[in-house]
Amino acid sequence: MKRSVHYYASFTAIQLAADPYFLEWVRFPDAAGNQFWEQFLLTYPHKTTDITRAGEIARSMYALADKPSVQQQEDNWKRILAALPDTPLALPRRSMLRTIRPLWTAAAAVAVAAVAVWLIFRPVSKEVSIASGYGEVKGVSLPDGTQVKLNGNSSIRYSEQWKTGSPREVWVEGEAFFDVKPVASNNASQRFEVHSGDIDVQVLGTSFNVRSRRGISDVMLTTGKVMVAADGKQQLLSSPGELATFNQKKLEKKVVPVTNYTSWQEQKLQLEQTSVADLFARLEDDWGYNIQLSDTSLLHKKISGEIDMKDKQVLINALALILHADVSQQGESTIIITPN
Amino acid sequence: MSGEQLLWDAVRNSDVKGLEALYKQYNEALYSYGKKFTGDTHLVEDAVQETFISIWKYRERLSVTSMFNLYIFKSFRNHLFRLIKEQQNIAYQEDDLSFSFELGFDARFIEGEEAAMLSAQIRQALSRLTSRQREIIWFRFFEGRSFEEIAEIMDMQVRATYKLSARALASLKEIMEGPALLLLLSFLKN
Repeated sequence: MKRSVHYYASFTAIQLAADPYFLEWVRFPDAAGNQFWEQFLLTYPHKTTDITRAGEIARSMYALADKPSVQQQEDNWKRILAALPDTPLALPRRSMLRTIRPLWTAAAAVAVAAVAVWLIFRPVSKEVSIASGYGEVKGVSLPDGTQVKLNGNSSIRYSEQWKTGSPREVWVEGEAFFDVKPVASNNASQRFEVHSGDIDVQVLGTSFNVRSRRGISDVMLTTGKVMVAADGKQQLLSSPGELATFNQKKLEKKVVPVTNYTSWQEQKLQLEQTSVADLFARLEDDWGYNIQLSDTSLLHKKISGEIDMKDKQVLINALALILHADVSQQGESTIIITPN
Repeated sequence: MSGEQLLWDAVRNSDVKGLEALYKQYNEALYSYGKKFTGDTHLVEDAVQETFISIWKYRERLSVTSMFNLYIFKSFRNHLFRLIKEQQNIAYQEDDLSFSFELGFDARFIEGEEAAMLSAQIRQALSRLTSRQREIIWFRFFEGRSFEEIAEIMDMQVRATYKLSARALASLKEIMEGPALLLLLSFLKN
């Protein structure tokens, strides 16, 4: 640090956060750095807020990580296992615990054993999995206080305890809405990550909806900011209503009405130029209906409006009205549609 | 006895559970490190697989102690480079590789246009460095590794990492004091 403190006199917080020497000091504070920046603040006391903010920005800066999906990780492990030269599965199962137990007994280090067992088996244990039935909207509270709403026929998986310093990770099948609880400012590195279908969502303090059905995954942002990654591609969602869709290896972004993707939480279906085919897919995927339709030309029709799903009769009347068809119910979950 | 040492001993005792635990502990980190060299997912996955297969193959000859963490990154790096070389099938030099990464910030401190600008500026500055310099910066700034550790993984002298990093910082400074900073200054004044 061979420069004068006056060099930084007119720096804004942003400029400080981009300055290599400032960055290095924030990341790796040393005596020389402390002395320099203290001197700077003594000379320019009105820059205290800028320095504080620049420090927060610099500390919160991270390199985005491209992570393998759970499926990828499992597949890769299977390939490794298959390629191990002397197939370990054929070897007599020599448990490591049994081999080294005498040592432990000698040392009477029961605690060590417990720690070792925990270390070895940690990855498979302590997982929480919650699922919802057809048509059921379920609230879930995560270990950090983050609130999740699960749509019908959906599930969420996460570890019972979240370690400080590693990302908060959850896995979703189906559809869920997240209202992520921000972490304390001294722990900015604890990112929140959602994995669903083929996509990974890196969350930067925020609320959003994620849905994976029939090989298509999408993420719709309500507040804040998220980074969506799939198949090596990335999209940043930064304003409400931005939607990232991953379908057939393509990750595309567009803007949609927010309520179309969140109304399910009030057990309503919000439709806006939605195709009948998409509506039926939702009724089947989220509500478990089986829809029988004699005239498939109806499927391409686009419809708009709101359907209250709490009452089955309301749904049936609404369908009849929208589709100009005779709609009847058979059994618990079959709906038969015959065009007039 | 550290937990990792136990896993490692288990591997040496031909206990495949130990290898699996090491895989679970490291595969994400290796994958994400590898993806910074190439966008080719399969290549990176192959390198991860080869790394663990070779650990198993040579388990009896391995005498790794507390350096396991470095050893596995170093071994992965070598496997990946060899695969990239084979794939390109041409005369290749390490300098041809391009290590790159994207930056993110906590939205509570900076967002929108400001965040985009800051990230663009740092990205541009990084793009003017060599791939090795960027790799060192990433290890040092974002992974918090010491120069000794970086030297071990990247197979170079410790002093060389200091030099490379100092040079990287100096060129960053030069770049940021140049036109980019002026542009930023004028932008912020508006």
